[in-house]
Amino acid sequence: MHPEISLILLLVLSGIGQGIFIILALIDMILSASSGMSDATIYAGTIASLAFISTGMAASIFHLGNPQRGWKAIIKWNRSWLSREAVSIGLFAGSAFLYLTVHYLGMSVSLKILFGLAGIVSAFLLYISSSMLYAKIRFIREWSNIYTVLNFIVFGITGGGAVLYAIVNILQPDFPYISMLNSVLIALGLLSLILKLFAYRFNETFYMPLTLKHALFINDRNIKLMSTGTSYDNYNTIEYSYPLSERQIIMQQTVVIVFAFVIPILLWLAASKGVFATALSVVAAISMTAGLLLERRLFFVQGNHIQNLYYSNFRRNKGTNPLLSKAKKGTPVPL
Amino acid sequence: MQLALIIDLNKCVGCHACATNCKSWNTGGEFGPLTDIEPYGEKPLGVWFNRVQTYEVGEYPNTQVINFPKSCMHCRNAPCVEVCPTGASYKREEDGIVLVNYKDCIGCKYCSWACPYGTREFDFHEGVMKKCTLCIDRIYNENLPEEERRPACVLACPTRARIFGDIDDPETEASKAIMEKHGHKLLPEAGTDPSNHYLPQRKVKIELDEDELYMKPMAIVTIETKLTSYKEQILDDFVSP
Repeated sequence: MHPEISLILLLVLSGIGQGIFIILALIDMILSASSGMSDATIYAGTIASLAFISTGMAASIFHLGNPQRGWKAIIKWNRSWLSREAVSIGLFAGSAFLYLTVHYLGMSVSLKILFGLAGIVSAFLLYISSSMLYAKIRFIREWSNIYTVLNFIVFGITGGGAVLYAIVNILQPDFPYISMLNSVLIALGLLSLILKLFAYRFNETFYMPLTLKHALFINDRNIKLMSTGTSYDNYNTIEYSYPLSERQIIMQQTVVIVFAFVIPILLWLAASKGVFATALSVVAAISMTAGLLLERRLFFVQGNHIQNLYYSNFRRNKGTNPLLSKAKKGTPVPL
Repeated sequence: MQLALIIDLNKCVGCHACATNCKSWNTGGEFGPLTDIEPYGEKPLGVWFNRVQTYEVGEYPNTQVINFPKSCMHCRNAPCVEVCPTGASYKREEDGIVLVNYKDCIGCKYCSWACPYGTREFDFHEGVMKKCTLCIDRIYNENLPEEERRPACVLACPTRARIFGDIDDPETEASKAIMEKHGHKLLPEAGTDPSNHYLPQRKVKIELDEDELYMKPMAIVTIETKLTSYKEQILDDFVSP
């Protein structure tokens, strides 16, 4: 699929914004009694979260053909995941803003906990709806799998944690639970790394039985596209595919793995020693954000729509028929 | 009632008349314009409701050319309608046509991702998704003569490779063509239950018994008699004034 910069920014930045809020609200609610975070950290964290989510929302406007009636996207919330995404992004931004307001005005703790919980719940709803939006398109197998949902949630929380860790390191280096935050981040980073490797492995090996033969319903092995009917590209060749060779994809996958996961994890490990922790955490957050932007871009590029069969743009992966591979080992093939 | 197009791949010669007449009607019709960007430039890009692709099947020298017109299938289980966040895409209950209400469409392109056939096209100029309407502004248009109340592509087809009709009614030409000529759906695996059907390419053969070879078919006899009578009359006129 064509990687649209506005969608990439929306997904990555709002994901990080949600992640910041989830971790911040959890820490603040659990440790509020034991003098956890300073006010400055809470303000900076919540404002950063709101800034990320509003940048994402602003970017998403450029994706729409008619943004002036974009509010109509909430109408079919009972049917469309995109609509649910629009509803939950509003709920999340509202809850985060109210959380900040309640904290600023010093209102009762129960009210703050209410908005904190509402923010966390709506952040998870937003993760789920914005990933289900992609996972529900069953004609793009690279998207339509469990890794899409898991990756959106885990990468978002990890990215948010990376930014929050940098904020805490800058504003409150003596935060009592900073080493705990560090170890949680390293664990989340490792989990993300494993999930991403599994997702790339899945993209390589799932079995896709459909070919041009099936698409045209003509029983012949040799079918060649002679003419697309147009002298230049059309919407179908622009929107559904992106020219990137297999080598380039593997190279970019490596860059993603290194920048989004390996470098941040190593930097966090180094920061846990306490030397240059501020600088290291900032570099880790920047590296992770950049890596996640490339990761989401690659997510779009790798999405391979069935429609591409008609235009011979369909990328074949190396997957083999599971029935045939079973048969080779000598087990009977179920009919 | 489910209106649909039946496309006979056996008759299609790939002349693109269906696509051009579709564009010609619809760009000025109720669901127009079908915007073109740089139509006379090096990179022409535009909205088409119907596109014809050409494939070569088989290995030389045993090859066949298949011209493959493809437009919205008006699926009974339309995935594009399900995913629309505004309800701008909808399927009409009375005739099964899938339409887009341009006034509600926000141009998020999500419906085009959900369509396995790639038959929805985004209008980059107007910012809305456009698609085949089955010429709804023709088929119910009382200003047109009765025989022209059919989709523009069907009217334009010089080989009559396109049949338009209700596929729920077994008595229509469309349903009969599906039944008699082995009409099939596109990507049945997708579970969309498309309404448009394709009639496969097939070799046309006439099977005759040996005794049929010695019989003079009635049709030829009638034509011959007609011709002779006509000829005699003319001759009479000239010979005996």
